[in-house]
Amino acid sequence: MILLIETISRRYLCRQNDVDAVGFPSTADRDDRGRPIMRSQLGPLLDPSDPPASGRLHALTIHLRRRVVELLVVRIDLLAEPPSVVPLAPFLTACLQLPWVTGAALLDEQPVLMLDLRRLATDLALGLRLKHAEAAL
Amino acid sequence: MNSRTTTFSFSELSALRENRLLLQWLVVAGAIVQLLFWVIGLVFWLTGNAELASFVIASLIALVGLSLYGLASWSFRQGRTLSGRRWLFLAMTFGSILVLLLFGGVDGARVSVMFVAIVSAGLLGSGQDTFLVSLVNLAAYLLLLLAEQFWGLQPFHAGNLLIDSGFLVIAVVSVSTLAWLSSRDLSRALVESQSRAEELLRNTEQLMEKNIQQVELGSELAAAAAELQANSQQQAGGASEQASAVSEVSTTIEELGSTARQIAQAAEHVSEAAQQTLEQLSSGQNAVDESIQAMERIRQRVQDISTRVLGLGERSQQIGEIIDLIDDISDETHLLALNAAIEAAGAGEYGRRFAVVAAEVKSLANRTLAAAKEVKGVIAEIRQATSAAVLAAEEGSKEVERGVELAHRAGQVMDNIVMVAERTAQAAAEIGLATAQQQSASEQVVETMREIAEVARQSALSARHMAESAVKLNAIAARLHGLASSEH
Amino acid sequence: MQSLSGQSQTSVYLYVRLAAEHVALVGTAVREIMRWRTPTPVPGAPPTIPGLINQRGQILPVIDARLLLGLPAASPDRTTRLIWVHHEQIDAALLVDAVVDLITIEAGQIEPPPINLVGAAQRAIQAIYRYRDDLSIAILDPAALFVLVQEVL
Repeated sequence: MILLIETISRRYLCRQNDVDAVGFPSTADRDDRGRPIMRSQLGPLLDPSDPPASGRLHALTIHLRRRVVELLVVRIDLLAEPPSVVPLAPFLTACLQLPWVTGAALLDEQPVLMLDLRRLATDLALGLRLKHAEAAL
Repeated sequence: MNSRTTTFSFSELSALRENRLLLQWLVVAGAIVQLLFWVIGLVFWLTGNAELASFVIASLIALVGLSLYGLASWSFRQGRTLSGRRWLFLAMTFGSILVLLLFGGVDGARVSVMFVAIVSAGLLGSGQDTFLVSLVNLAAYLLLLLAEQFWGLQPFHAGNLLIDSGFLVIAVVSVSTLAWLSSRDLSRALVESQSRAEELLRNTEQLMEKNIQQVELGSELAAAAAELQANSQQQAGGASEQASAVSEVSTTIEELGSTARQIAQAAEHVSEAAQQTLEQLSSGQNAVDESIQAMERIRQRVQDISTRVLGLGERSQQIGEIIDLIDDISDETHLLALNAAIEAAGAGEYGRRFAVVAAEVKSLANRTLAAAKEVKGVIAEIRQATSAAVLAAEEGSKEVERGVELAHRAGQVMDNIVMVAERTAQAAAEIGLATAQQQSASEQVVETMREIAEVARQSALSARHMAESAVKLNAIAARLHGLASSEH
Repeated sequence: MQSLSGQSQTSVYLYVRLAAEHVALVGTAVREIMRWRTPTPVPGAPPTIPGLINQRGQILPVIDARLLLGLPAASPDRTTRLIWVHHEQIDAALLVDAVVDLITIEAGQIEPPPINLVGAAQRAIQAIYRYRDDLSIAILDPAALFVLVQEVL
């Protein structure tokens, strides 16, 4: 199942299997199992021109071995018709900084990128960031 | 006594007859003598040597005589020498009559006293006086003679040789004194006339010398006359040049005057234009004031509108909050449905049916969300419209303020223009005044120039006359020269 | 497109402008000339790849040829074009500043590239064509471009 993620200025796709929970952002530092929660806004992580969202947000929760990553977005939705996702061109994949984008689909005639959120969460937990977000670390 | 009569100066010839001093003395002396003889007569009568009638006659004669003396003295005082003398001589006649009456009548040498009066009249009086006095004396003598012979008039005292001689002596002495005085006077007059003749001769000689000098000067005069002629011709020429120059200047001044008149006219036009501008501007200023007032009213209205609109905005704010609440609920429902669908996907057959329900819930949630979005949209539109209205109102009020400012500025500009127009009018008036003054001044100058021209013309004329006179002078000088040379 | 007319072989080339440089691509590699549109940026992609575009249902990556060859990259304007380049099953959209013309070049007119080329230019330019007395056009090798793009510094 493919989920549609909306940030302030962009849209992404992700696989439902990659995330463990879909809901509202939590407020505590640790979840009920005591694991530290790493909260981060997804939009600015991926696109420097995507501003951080405020107000009512949705959260994608990914459980890693020792911690939890919460990715905050403006809205999460389920697409009525699953879109056909094509993988990225190999030469493009080969020159990505971090392999967070796996493919793209057309939504409303526009290319929308498919994200590997699990990989993304893992890299996030490792402290890896894209170039533009490195200053925020 | 001499203050009213003519002053005496030794250089003047003063006729004895005009000698008032002497005449006055004669008056006084004669009066005293008359009085004395009357007193003697009185004594004679008192001593019984004479009859009352005789005394009365004697007193009468004495009275007449005294009054004649008084009359003479009065006449002299009055300055009427001529009549005064006459009275004097008559008085003397009466004096001598009294003497004759008193002392022996008319037969005897004593009659010579009558000569005193006659000689006096001859020496001191005019021709008429002599004739008159002689007649009176002669008449008196005849009368006395007749009185003695036929009317029995007796003198107071009989005549005797002593009395006769005495009176004769008196008469001779008086007459000769008078004659001496007269002749002295005459000789003095002669001497004076001689000296005058000599003076006259001297003056004539001097005049002759001066004449000769003048003739000598005559040639100098001729030269001077020639020079004068040349100068006057030059002056005439210069004067005519001056006249032509003056007429040129006069023409220029007149042109200046006409230019000044043109300027004055132009200034008047400017002044008129400035007046008109002022009138129009005053109506323009009124318009500006009215527009400012109107804008103030508009600003008030706009203020009211904004206040109301703001009130509306608050209401819509409330509605928005309610909408937010609806939003929350629908959002939760949405996620709930999402998760339900995820669960259902992993629950197999049961999951499928559940998925359908979940899908319906989700669609319901979506519809709610859509409705809420719509309302939100409407609210947002209202809000937008409201804020737009507020903005427009603010803009409007800003515009109004700007309009007021512009109107104020326009008013200021108008004031400036009015000031400029007034100054222009003033300047035009000043120009007009200045040109009028200039015009009158230039007219004055023209007048003065004409006068100068006239003077020049006249001076030329007089120069010409001078030239002619010089020529004449020259001729005279030549004649003089001829005369002088012929005399010498 | 090669046509055999007697002895000479002629090929069609797409003559384009990159900044101030005049280059050409062999016509067989050119699939389509497209108008410019803003690509969807890919997070983590190098600057030479501005993003992805959709052309008739096909998602193509955009390659900025100017940056690839070290040329100044001006902002896109109305002459900017995207060239659909196809080479050995690789499709991409090449960003050029202007498309000049489709020209026909005889095989004999093509000269080897000058030896003093360095860097990206040296690897991308496969030949030189003397277009005019004062103008030479560099003929680019599409394969080299795809290789170059993958080498990110």
